[in-house]
Amino acid sequence: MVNWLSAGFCIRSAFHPSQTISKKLMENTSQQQEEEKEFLAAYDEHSASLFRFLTMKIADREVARDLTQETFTRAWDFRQGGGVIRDWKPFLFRTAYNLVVDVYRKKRSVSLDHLVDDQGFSVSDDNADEKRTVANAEMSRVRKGIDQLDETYRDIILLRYTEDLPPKEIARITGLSENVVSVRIHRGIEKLKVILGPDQK
Amino acid sequence: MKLLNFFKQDDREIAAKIRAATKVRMDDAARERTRALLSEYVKMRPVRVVEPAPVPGPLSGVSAFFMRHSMPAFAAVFVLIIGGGTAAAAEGALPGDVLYPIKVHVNEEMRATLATSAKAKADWQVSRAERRLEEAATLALAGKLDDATRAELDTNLDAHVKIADENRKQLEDENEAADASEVDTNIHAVLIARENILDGKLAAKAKAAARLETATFMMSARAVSAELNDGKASEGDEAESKGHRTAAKARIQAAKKFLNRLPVRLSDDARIQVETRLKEAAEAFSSGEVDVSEGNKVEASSHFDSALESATKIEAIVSVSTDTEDTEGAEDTSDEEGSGDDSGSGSSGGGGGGINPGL
Repeated sequence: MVNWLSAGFCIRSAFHPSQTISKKLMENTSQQQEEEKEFLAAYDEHSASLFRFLTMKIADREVARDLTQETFTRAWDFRQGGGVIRDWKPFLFRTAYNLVVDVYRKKRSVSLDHLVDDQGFSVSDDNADEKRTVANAEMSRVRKGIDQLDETYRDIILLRYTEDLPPKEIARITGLSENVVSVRIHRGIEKLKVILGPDQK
Repeated sequence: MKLLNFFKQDDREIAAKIRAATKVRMDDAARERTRALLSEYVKMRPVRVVEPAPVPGPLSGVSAFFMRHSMPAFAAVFVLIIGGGTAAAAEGALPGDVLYPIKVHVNEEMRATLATSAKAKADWQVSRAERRLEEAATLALAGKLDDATRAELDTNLDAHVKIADENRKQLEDENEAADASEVDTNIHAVLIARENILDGKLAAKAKAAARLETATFMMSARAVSAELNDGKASEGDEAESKGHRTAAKARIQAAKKFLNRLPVRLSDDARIQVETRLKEAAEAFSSGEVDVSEGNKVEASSHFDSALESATKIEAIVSVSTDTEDTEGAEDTSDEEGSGDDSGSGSSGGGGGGINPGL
């Protein structure tokens, strides 16, 4: 009898950790599913703007698409390694920005306006009001003007006005101080006005 | 205040023009394709759940024996019940993690059974040995490679090498001389890499060198690397070059994981040093891979040596930095609160300082 009890104790001892493992495995699987869901939701929400930013920055549709994908895989790698992403948008933009700066060093060789015309980019339809007030010719002129901006200003202008990011977020993405970003936004706009002509003053 | 307001004023007209002129979008098909690829990617690389260190319980000898030896069987049962997701989740596990037995006793054993030829079996055993090295390097960076774990990993590595060597003999018996020779080289490479990663004395020497020179950021582990090379000429240049490649790869992967996770506090200087060394190592490694693909063995060897030298320094820098933190006390940790998230990690997570992710 004693032996049976003893055996029972041993079996319980042996099975107890496995039950803990089973519970943990299920928790992990559930957590994994939640993480995947959150990640894909971030993709659905931010991939378009990331692609747009990357396209504007490097003027190459195919590379921009690849870099968009790479940005998300790096974000996942960061999560997978135990990193915490509290706010996806600035994190993704910062990742994309670093990716271009550190990895993809090729300079823009195609003008933005040329790219839009030649590679079939369509102007989004979700800005009907703006489209009514800005004729196609004027948009082309603005794109050429943005092209002429120094990269120092262009990136920040695009992040501020195309992506609607506040200076604080732009500062985090670019690694600059918020003051420097604010100054560059102001100066960039002034330079763009000069490029576009006196009627923009 | 006026100045701030001035900067905050947006020129609405020109802002609208910029917005309208730069609105472009990815076509829906490409967007869905990328989404599908990412969906597969996240399943292949599941998030690793960091478990607290297990506290040994008062198990009887019999119970401990039963637990130890029945773990693979339990693991197999759970994998069958819960599915492939768990097996995938176990892939990132380290010694001490709950899922580690599944990684070693289920995933790896299952994969071993899928290898049919002696060459494929040998290759997989060499890969398993490399995985043990990467685990050791990862734990070492986290300061968790104690003697017991080191010995366990070393024993497992020996077992993998032994099986690979049996497969090599089988290849020789089957007159597959070229394959047997390749396996032999790979085995020697793993053994050379083991000296770099699992040799505690070597790590201590590198640490001492780092301690001496860390202040000037000119720490050199060249002497340590040179010591590695002593007496290894007889094993052949190719094995040595491959060994350095294997060790560098394991250390680079470990450092990347370490930087992403940052389980211990590093000073800013140390972090910069680690990132710099990692970048150097990754770039030299990539150059070595290119040289290999182009058949430039001498250049490849040189690049792998450089990669290993830089990668070996990382552990020493981390070790010295964490030792320094320990001795300086914990009163200055308050400024770190909240900095372990995306705001502080975007650089490494994003772009990684130019580190080639495709190692």
